[in-house]
Amino acid sequence: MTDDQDPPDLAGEYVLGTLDGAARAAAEARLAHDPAFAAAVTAWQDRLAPLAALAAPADPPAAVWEQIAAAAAPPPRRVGLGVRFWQASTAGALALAAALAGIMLLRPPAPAPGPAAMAVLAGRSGLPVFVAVARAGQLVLRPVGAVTAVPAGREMELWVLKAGATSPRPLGALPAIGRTGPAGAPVATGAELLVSVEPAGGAPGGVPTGPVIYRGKLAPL
Amino acid sequence: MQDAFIQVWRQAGRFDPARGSAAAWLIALARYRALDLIRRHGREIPVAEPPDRADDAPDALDVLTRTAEGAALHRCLEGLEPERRRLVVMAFVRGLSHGELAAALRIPLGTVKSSIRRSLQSLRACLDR
Repeated sequence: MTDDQDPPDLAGEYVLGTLDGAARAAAEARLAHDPAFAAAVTAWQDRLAPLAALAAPADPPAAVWEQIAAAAAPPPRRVGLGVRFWQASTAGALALAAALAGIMLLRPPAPAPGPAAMAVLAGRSGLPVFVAVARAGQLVLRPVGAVTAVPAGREMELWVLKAGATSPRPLGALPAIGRTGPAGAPVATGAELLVSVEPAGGAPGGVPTGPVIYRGKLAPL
Repeated sequence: MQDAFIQVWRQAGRFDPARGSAAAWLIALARYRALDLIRRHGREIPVAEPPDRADDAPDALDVLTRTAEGAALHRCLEGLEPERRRLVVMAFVRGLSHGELAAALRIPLGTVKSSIRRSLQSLRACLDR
């Protein structure tokens, strides 16, 4: 049947997922070199996305996140360079090791339930460095790329810029393992998370003074 | 799911906000990865199941109305014949291929294909209106 090769809504069938193995592979190959087809697929993704609400929610075990962070981290060579570079500064090396090894948890004093959102924080190169997940008033940041080493005497500080706001609100220093984050979460969808380099102890006056090195918008989960 | 999200981080640079929503892109990537696995290695859950699952219940689609996009899709799905609506929802939620849908619902493959095509055309016309 020739119409099997190219039905009018091949893109729709691809997104819906009804294509069998070979037809699915052919459609996938076509995505790479057929911009019109790729655009049609994007349009169908947007049209059908609400159906995902029908799937039963399932929270993956914590180990899954650990493995995602490990697999998404850059090759060890780059990490090694960073560590060597920062052996001169104990604080810097510790911060980098902590950032690469673990999870940063900012827990507001009174966790309030709220919509879940996530953001991918990236530097100017566009490569993802942190993944932030905001859920139930809690914001969890996880390094997924090479975190920039911060000069001695300085630290990374996390900020939230609400949609429409002109100045960001400080959320605390990174890494903040085991540290209680300042009040202010939950973080609303549509807000942007920023990471700037500040003097140790936090930006004086509660406004960013150093360069913003990572940023990412929170999108609903 | 784990593989899907690893893929997301690797492909994050390819995401173009001008072309579609981030959530839809994430959902699609996760589903594609799941579909790849199912098509390659088979599924763990049998396809033929008693028809008492959430996606078959008459009011299961009501959760769609919580968002504006979902409400529009809900309205357009309601415009489909019940059997066609069921096919579309089953295909999306369970990741069934044309062949698997035909086997699960005991209807001819050709009927499944033409039903899905007409349903998609109706949905597109309804949603893009």
